[in-house]
Amino acid sequence: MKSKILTALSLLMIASAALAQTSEPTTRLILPEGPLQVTVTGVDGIVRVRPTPTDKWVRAAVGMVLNEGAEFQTGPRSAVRFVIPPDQTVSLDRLGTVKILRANFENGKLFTDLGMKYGRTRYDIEGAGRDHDAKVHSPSAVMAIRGTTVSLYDQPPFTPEAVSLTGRARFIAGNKVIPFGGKGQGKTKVNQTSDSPAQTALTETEIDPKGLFSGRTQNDLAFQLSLAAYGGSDFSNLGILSFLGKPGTVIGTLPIGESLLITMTYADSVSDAASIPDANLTITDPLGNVLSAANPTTPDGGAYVGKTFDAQTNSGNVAAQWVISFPPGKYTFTESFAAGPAVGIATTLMISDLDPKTSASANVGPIPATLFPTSPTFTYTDTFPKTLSGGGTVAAARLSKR
Amino acid sequence: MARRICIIALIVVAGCQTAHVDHPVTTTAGGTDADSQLEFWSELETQPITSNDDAFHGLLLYLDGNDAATDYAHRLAVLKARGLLLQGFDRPANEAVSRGVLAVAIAKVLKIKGGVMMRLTRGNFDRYALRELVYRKVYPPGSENQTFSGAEYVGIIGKIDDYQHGDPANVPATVLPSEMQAMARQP
Repeated sequence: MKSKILTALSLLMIASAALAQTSEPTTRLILPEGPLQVTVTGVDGIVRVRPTPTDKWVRAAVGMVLNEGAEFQTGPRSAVRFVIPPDQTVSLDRLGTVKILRANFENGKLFTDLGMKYGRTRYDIEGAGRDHDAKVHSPSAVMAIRGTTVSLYDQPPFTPEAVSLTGRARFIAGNKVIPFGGKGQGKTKVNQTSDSPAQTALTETEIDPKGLFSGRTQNDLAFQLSLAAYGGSDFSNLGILSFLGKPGTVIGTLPIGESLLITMTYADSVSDAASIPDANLTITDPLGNVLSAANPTTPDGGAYVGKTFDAQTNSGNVAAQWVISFPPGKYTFTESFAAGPAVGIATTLMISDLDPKTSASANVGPIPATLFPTSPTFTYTDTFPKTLSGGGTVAAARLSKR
Repeated sequence: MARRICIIALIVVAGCQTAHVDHPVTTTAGGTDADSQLEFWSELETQPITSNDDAFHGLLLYLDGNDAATDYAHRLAVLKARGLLLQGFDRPANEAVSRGVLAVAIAKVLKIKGGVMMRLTRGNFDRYALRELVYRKVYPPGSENQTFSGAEYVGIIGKIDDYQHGDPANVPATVLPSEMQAMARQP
């Protein structure tokens, strides 16, 4: 029994060894230990190279084979690409200098060290399964690379930065060591002034207040809606801006940054529990927009809040408002009889012009009226804004809070 | 007392002077063949200040791939004829280049129209041109009266290249910038 188990175990070991041998990639390049040679595979524009610091500069050409110590320099609109076998590709972009400080294979590990004096170096390592120790040094930063697609940019007067298109790398600047990027993560950027890729992204993000991702508040949305009455959703066609190639409706008056609050109460003029009074309110603003129960919003920000009725007191209330701003000029308030006794219904109109920033206000009313079935409407006109009082400036309000 | 005032006045006058470069790089590497061009950029990168002559020579090298102008006066004439420099510009060759003067030229090269004030001044006002370039990350934040070191000037020319032809940091190292541009042109 014991010998059978031993035989089975030995067979298993032989089989696994055979399997391991067959799973080894047959195309894998066997590298000799020692320095690696670098081959130029692409040249754009004017690029020069010198094999060692004591050699003279020569023009770089595709197919050139170089050793450790070689240095590249690129001009404007130029770039050079070289390959460090078996799986590393490096590109030096326009106006840069890079030197191959180290490129060798030792103890089963690929060591590469590039010294970039200035410019931008892009680095691809595609060797899964191989052990790499690849670095790009620049005067202000070091980038340590594993199997990944990354670039390092270091050129005054701009902040040194590293970009990973895929794969993990480390960005070392001063005392900071920032790991960034990940496999399949997409473009990740980190720079010397931030502590993480997230912080870099945050500081570089610019949100266009007119863009899709502007994250407007409800008040912003209401304000934007109100601006439609003035020829657009921004001021691009007002005043001097209208000369810049964006013709449109130009109204010379900007909206007033105050609120206009309107309330109408109504009740039987002679108390009668058997009758249910009802009245309507219609407001026409200076731009000709009509605000009513049938037309509950206007493009300039007017909103018909609604009608409430209290059965206990047998009275009702109609409210309307321009919360963010309102167009200046003459407003017409029309009260109309809807239902009620023949003796009529009594109405009271109150209008408040309020600056929400300072709480200063001007109140108009109460304006009493009686509506009859035979004389069903009452009209009141007035001009707004009024001169406000009772509040203070924003600064004064803040000071008083302190 | 009068002596002190004189010393202070001298310090103030000297402090307000624009920096000058003793030997612009164009005097030693002003040629237009490829080797001279690379030597020019390499040497300029080490300079503490970029002179007007070096800046305009570098700009022409970037724009045309060579600089046909034989001297500074000729360079000014070429840039003025192209509308990149104001007609009244008459600063000396060895004076430190102003960021503002360069910003006007670069904004025109990049066809940046800018905002209200830049449009009203037809892009000829250095302050607005500079601010527009800062906004577009071609320039670092700063004043139009500042100058550039040689390394900074080289960095600005690199940014112009990125602005015009796309940022190669968005593609792997296997793709050269010219290949990237060819890919972008494909439908």
